[in-house]
Amino acid sequence: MKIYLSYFISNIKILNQFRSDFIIGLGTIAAEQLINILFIQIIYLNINGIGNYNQYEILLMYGFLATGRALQLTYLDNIWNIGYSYIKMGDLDRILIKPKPALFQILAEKINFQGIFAQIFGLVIILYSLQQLNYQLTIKALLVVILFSVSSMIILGAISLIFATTSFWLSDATYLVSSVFSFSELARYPLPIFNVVIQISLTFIIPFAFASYYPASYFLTSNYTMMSLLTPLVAVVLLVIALVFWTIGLQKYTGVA
Amino acid sequence: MNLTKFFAVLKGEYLQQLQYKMFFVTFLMTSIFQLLITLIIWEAISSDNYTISYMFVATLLTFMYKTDLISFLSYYVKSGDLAILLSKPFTLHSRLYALFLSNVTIQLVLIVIPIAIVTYLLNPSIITEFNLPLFIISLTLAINVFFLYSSLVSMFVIKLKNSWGLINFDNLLKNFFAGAIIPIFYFPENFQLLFKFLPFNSFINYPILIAFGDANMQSMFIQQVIWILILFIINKIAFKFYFEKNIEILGA
Repeated sequence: MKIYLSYFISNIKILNQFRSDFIIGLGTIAAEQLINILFIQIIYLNINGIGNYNQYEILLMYGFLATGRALQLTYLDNIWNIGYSYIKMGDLDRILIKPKPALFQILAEKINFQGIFAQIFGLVIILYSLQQLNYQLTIKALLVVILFSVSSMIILGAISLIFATTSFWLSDATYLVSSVFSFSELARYPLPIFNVVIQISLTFIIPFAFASYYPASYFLTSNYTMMSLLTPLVAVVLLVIALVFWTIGLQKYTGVA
Repeated sequence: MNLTKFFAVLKGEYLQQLQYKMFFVTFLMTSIFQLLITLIIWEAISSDNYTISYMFVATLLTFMYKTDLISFLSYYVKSGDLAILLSKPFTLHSRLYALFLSNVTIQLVLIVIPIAIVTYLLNPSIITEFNLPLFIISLTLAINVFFLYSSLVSMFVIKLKNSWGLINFDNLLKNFFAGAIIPIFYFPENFQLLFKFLPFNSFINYPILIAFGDANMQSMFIQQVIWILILFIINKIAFKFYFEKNIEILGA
């Protein structure tokens, strides 16, 4: 924890050096969130409904995905650089001569503070949607929102780590991670609007649905409450799989030469 | 612009970019994924074939436009190699245009057209009416509007240390206002009126509407030409009074 804190402080110092970039980054995040909300609003101006869901239910699903992504962006963003920077360019050699676990160092080296702004935005979307859906905002509800948001981050992070780890065999799998992650776009929508193959894929194969749809289902009157309760468990299982796979990959690493 | 020099540089760009064959394989794969996701989402959201056709063409055009002038210029500014570029008997804009044109045409031929043909063969109902000659004319104008807009935005890198935020912000704006994320005809009418005063419509929305036989195509062509003229003039002014005045090469 002490070491993570010193990494945290050095990340703040980096932030201080690149102020204009940070402000543009914040602007980008704000614009992205705004556009995604506008997207839902505009769709509902033209279409009667997405499945049997109203716009606040869709917004709630988006809120969970946005919060999970924001947490991932803040604390797990460096997973995206594993393929190119650490494995292909050999930066992992520098990490491996230090006495702390490699993955810990990689994650601690980059803390993206712009993500904190996105987290707040995501949480506001969730709470606003729940209020519009006349859901009672109790302490228990808030704790469940936090638990599901953290689970969502772990799920997204574990999926990206699993595919980033393939870089140990493929040299740089960033494009693979990016391609797989593009499927997370589907998780912004209710699962039942898609065909069975996609529903099964998003639940059991690459479980993006547990990052948004199932957590949101807990607060909606749907038949998926039991599945939504499995969200933290799915997060833990995926995390274990990702860490085991990472350890196997790391053992295969022989350096750039 | 000296055309002989321009074509020599353009040829160099083609040769350079075609060296990275693996890049095109991965680009093709990610493009197929993206198109697949867009079609899955829109088929689930809308039962209207016109909307799905629109989003199909719009997504393909975003693949064609994937050229990062900001990163290119940023690299040359940071490394100081911009001094070499500026000292050559070939303007920076012509160099950027050669880079952009080679990227766009390669992506059109190697990515967009093959994907479009395969998708059409698998699902002929995805496009029912398409005026190809008019589309090609509009697309040629669109490519030029897009380039002039992008080169204008790329000049901002001289004040930034890291171009990541600017690249994402620029992509987001372009995609949203051009019709790549949501069809422009889905927007409320007052928004659509506002968009007429922005260049983004010319990138994607107008070429698609012209290809689909929109009644206002004459006005769309005129707007595309006007945007080329306006952006060309702004580019010249911005280069002379902003870029040249503010550029610092390795602290000098």
